[in-house]
Amino acid sequence: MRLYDYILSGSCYKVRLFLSMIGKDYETVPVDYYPGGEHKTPEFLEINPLGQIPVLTDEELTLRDAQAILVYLAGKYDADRTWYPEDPRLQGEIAMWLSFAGGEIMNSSAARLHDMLFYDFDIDKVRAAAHAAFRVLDDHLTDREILGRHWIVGENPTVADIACFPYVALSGDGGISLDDYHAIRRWISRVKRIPGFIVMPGIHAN
Amino acid sequence: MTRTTDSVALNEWQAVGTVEEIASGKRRNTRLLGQDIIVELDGDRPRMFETNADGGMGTEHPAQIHYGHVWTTLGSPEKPPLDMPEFQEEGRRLVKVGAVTVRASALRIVENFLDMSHFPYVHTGILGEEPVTEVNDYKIEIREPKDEIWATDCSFFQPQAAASADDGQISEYMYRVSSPFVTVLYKTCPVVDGAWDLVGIFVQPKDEAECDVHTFMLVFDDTSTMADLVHFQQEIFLQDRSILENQIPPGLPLDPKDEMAIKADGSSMMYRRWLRKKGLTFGTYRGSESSQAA
Amino acid sequence: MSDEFPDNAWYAVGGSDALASGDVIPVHLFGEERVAWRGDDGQSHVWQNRCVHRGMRLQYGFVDGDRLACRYHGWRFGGDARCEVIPAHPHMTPPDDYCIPAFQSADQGGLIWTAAGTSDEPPPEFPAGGEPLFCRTAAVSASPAATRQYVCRLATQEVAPGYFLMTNTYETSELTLAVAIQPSGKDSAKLHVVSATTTDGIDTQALRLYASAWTRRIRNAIEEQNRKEAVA
Repeated sequence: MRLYDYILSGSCYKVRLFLSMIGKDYETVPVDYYPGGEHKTPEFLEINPLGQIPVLTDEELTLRDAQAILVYLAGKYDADRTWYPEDPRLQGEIAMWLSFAGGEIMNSSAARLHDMLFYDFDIDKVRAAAHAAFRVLDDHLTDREILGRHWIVGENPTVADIACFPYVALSGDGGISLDDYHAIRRWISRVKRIPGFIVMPGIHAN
Repeated sequence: MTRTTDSVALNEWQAVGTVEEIASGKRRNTRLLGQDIIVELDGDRPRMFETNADGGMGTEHPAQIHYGHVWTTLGSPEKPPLDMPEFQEEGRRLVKVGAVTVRASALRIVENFLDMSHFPYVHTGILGEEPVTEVNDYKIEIREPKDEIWATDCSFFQPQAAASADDGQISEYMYRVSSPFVTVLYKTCPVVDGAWDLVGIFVQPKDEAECDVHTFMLVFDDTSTMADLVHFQQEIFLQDRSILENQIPPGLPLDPKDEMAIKADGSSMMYRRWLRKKGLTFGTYRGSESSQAA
Repeated sequence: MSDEFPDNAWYAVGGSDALASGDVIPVHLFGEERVAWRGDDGQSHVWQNRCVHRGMRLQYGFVDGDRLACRYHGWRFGGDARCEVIPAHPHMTPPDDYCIPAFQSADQGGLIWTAAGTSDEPPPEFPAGGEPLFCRTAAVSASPAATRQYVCRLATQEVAPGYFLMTNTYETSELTLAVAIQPSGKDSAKLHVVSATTTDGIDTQALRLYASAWTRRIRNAIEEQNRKEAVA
């Protein structure tokens, strides 16, 4: 298995984090995303025509999109079927939150790229959109806690938690504070206690 | 935001980007010490202009290329940018890590660069790790006539000292501060016995609590890819960024009474004294009576 | 600070159950930054959110037994807010004056309280009968005054500054809620909502979910009203 990876990418971190938690080895291919822009070169576009990372290759399979990669890895390598359970209800809920992770939460990624690496975004707009998304997640997690549940979906951590985690935990990099989101902060602490948890720059160990 | 009146800060050479970044136009519009500026390459010749109210080019200021970066100034510096003869050595690789914006005072950024006692906590498993946290005594002095701060005989145990390192090692360090905004460290090269690898930051102070940091490495390393080298340093710097953006107050306090120091903070104490003696105010904390600049 | 939120009173900053041993959270009070944390000994503390060494926000620290560690250099501070260990000099006893400014704080009635200024009184007790059941916290993007004005109209009583009692109907029973307003900053406040447990055989989870939904509606209504007034 090979992961086209960038150390500062929260999306790549979703895959690194999950692979660590399920204990799978893989080869890392570092992509000089910044300042090199390697992901936009013709050579890389052969690997992923969208010019994005992460990309995972496993034998003949090539997958782009962190959420898709998580679903594949869970299905293929999680023998206990807890990270992506077979129950269609849970799969529906997980899909909903995977979309959220690749959608609304990415406003936090945009703010971070703007604040750190000079990407051109309407910063006030993306920060406001990130806050709106975080409020939705915080309200959800608040009610889940009331029900005695600790994860976004179901009884155990799933790929929905891994997909949502990085850009929520990295929000400070983009000037988005988590001070208002009490349930999110408790959920972050729980994710950090999952065996196999690893950090990335901007995320502390505990 | 308006240009600072702090002449100590204005009379320094400041890096504003790599030659590639300036040539591509990505760093055309930037800011220095509160002043919006335009930076471009006219063929090989770097040029800097103040930005007018209408967005056009105003007063021109000196600009030159050193160490793969464009340097400029809004004032009249007394000395040129630092001298690093290692750049002439055969076999060295220059790694330009890419400009990163940090919401912090340049002075906090430089001080963090000089500090070793954070290695086990901020760069865990790379530059340090509990329980090996003790900082041994080191020497700190001001070297004339260039008026540079040098910390020598520094050492620290490191699980992964460099991109090329396979094992833990005791790294030896020297730290050098050549201007309030420029600092370089020299560390044990894992590949060539007796040589130093260089890592440095050219901090471009845009506002009192916002900077673009230009990091470079000058190393002996024939095995790591450029991406590996860049990523190793970016990982370390981005770990520091999450600390730097959370220090209060943002400005660096120059009065020793404002923050509590220990022996391991020798470099930091010398740096603060040195800044105070220069009369620098840009990026300092001026909130308490005792720390008002003279 | 104002007459409605005086500076020598207690203010709630979160649910006691919501700050477990090992948790560290930021607290804003009148624009001032504090940190709340709970050690393994179960004791909660509210301190200034700033390490005395190099000014690092302590909210990013971690709990190590009964001590709070700063993220930057790992300095350990004990429950009395004094520095006990400086990892760069592990054999040194830190000077006595290397300590974090601490504030009065207490767990009371299901909530964690801190005093703005100093108070000779203990924090307010839970104002209804029965055991307090912490429901949730909600952050409101509106001034403490606007938040108070809205909550006040629903309340039967103001038990202490910013701490209101009100009754709702849940299914066919009467539900008592206590709402503590935390005056975070100029344009921000938090609501901490506690309900009384009932003896009517009502499922406490269902009751808390109801209270949570109620809190969301109140939060959204306060913000909606705030937006309308801003435009007017």
